[in-house]
Amino acid sequence: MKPDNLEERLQNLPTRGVPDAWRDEILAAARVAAPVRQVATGNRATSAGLTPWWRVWLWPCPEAWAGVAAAWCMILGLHLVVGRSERSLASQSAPPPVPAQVWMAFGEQRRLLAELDLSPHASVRPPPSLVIPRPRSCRQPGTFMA
Amino acid sequence: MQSADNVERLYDTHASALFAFLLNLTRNEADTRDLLQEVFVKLARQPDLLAGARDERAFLLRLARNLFIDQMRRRRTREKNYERLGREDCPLFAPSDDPDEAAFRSMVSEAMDELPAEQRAVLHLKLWAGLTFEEIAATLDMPPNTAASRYRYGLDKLRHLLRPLYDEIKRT
Repeated sequence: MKPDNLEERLQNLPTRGVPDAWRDEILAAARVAAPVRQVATGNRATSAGLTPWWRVWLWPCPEAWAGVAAAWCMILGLHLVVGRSERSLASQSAPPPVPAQVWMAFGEQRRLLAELDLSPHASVRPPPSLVIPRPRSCRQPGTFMA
Repeated sequence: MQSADNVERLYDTHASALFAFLLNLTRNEADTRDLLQEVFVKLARQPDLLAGARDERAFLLRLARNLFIDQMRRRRTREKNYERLGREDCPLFAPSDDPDEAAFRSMVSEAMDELPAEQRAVLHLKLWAGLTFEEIAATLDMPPNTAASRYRYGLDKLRHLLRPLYDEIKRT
C-alpha cells in the first residue's frame, strides 16, 4: 500500500456527526450557565478591563486585607478610648481657675515690695562691710583684717 | 457579551469537528458529550473567550483538548486504569452500506485505539480536521517538527495495523 494512498483513503473517511439530540441539551445547558454567572457576579464586570481597580488590587487575598483593616479599626478604637479617658483624668486633676481679683492683689503686693526693696532677694543680701581696708602698702605683718 | 445566538452559531459551525476530535480522544460517547457540553458552557460563561482568537476552529479544538486533559487528570486520581476502563467500542466514522468499506472503517477505528493519545490527536487534526502542522503545533502546544514526526509515526503504525485487511480487500 502506497503511503499517499493510505493517507488519501483515511482523509476520505467521513467522521461521525454529532447526534442531533445533543444540540438542544447542550445549548440549554449553556443558556442556563450564562445568566448564573452574571447574577453571581452582580455588577462586577467579567472582563479585566472593566473590573474596578480596587477589586483588582484586593483580589489576590481579600481575607488578608480584611484582617488588616479589622486590626487597624481595633487600634483606632483603642486609641480613641484611651485618649478620651486621659483627657478626662487631666481635666479632673487640674486646679480651679484663679480669679482676676487675686491676680490683681498679687500684682499690687509685688509692686509694694519693689518700692520697699523688701523683696525676698533683698533680705538675703549680706550687709555691707563697715571696715574699709587700708592700702596693701600700709598693712603690717600679723595684723589681720577683721 | 456572548449572546445565546452566538453560542448557537458556534455550535452549528464547530460542534461536528469538536465531537469527532473528542470522540477520538476519549473513545467514549458519554465523556465526549460531557466535554462538548463543557466547551459550550465555558463559551457562554466567558463571553470574551474567543475575543483574541485568530482561528475559531483551532481555538476550540485546543480548548476541547485542554478540557480532555483536565478530565483525564481528575479521573486518574480516582482510577489509574481509566484509559482502558473508560473506552468502549464506539465507531469513529459514519456507517457504510458497503461491507468492505464498513470493515475498513471499523478496522481504522480499532487501529486508532492502539495509538498513543498524542499520535491520535495529531493524526486526527491532520487527516480529519484539515489543520497544517503549524496549526496542529499551536493547538497541541508542541513544536511543528514534533507534530510532523508524531504524524509520521502514527501513520506508519496505522499502515502496519491495517495492512492485512487492506491486502485482503485488494485481493478480493
